[in-house]
Amino acid sequence: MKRFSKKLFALTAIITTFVAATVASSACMWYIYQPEEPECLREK
Amino acid sequence: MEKLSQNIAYRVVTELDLDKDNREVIAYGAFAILQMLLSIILVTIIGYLFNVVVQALIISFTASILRKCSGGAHSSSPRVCVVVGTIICIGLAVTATILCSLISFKTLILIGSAIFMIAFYAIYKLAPVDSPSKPIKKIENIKRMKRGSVLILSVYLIIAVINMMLYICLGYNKFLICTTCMYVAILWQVFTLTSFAHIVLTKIDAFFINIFFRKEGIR
Repeated sequence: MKRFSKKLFALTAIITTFVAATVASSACMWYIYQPEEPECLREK
Repeated sequence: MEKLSQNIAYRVVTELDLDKDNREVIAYGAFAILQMLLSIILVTIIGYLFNVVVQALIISFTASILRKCSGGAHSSSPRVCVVVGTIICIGLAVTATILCSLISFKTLILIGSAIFMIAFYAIYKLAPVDSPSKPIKKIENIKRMKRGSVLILSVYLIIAVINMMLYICLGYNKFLICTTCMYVAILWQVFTLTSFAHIVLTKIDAFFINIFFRKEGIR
């Protein structure tokens, strides 16, 4: 059970990181709200 | 929604022993997924009540995909964003459905041509429109997003032409409705690029924030 939940957390981390990277390369998130972008994803 | 995405990030980071940067990125990604899902679910439910589910979803996706590259006016709260976004999608879906039954095929082609011409010009001149939370300063990024916006709009144009040809060949009204929905979505998205839209959305934003503020008592 613990191994399964670890895998689930890892999968969540992969999916959310992928979505965050995709959103970071676009001009806007979805509809009309844009939250503060994480420091490490900002263009330098 | 922000709280929930922070909680998800906290759980994931604690379980996998990751750092602060990872936590911020996971929270950002989780927020994006939650916002997208909530918007789609709300549009589907309210669209079902108004009998315009497909039309509302076409408008929602058409405007949002174009917005990814072109940007536009923003709201200051995720709650206002979801509420205003849903109202706009349903309102435009109802308008497009009514409009489609009122105007002739030829007029629709003329209106469509005008909308695409305005959209290409506005995107060429204004896109990408950034926000204070996500400023776009690099010239290469600006060029990439402008190119992306033009490409997406060109794909929409091709889809609209195919739809019109299918309507001529098969005669199904749904092709016309689908195209009209795309037209209104493009028009709305192009409108959000203008400075007038920024003024309008700031006023709408203030109005809804006032409502939520009064309802909750605190913020």
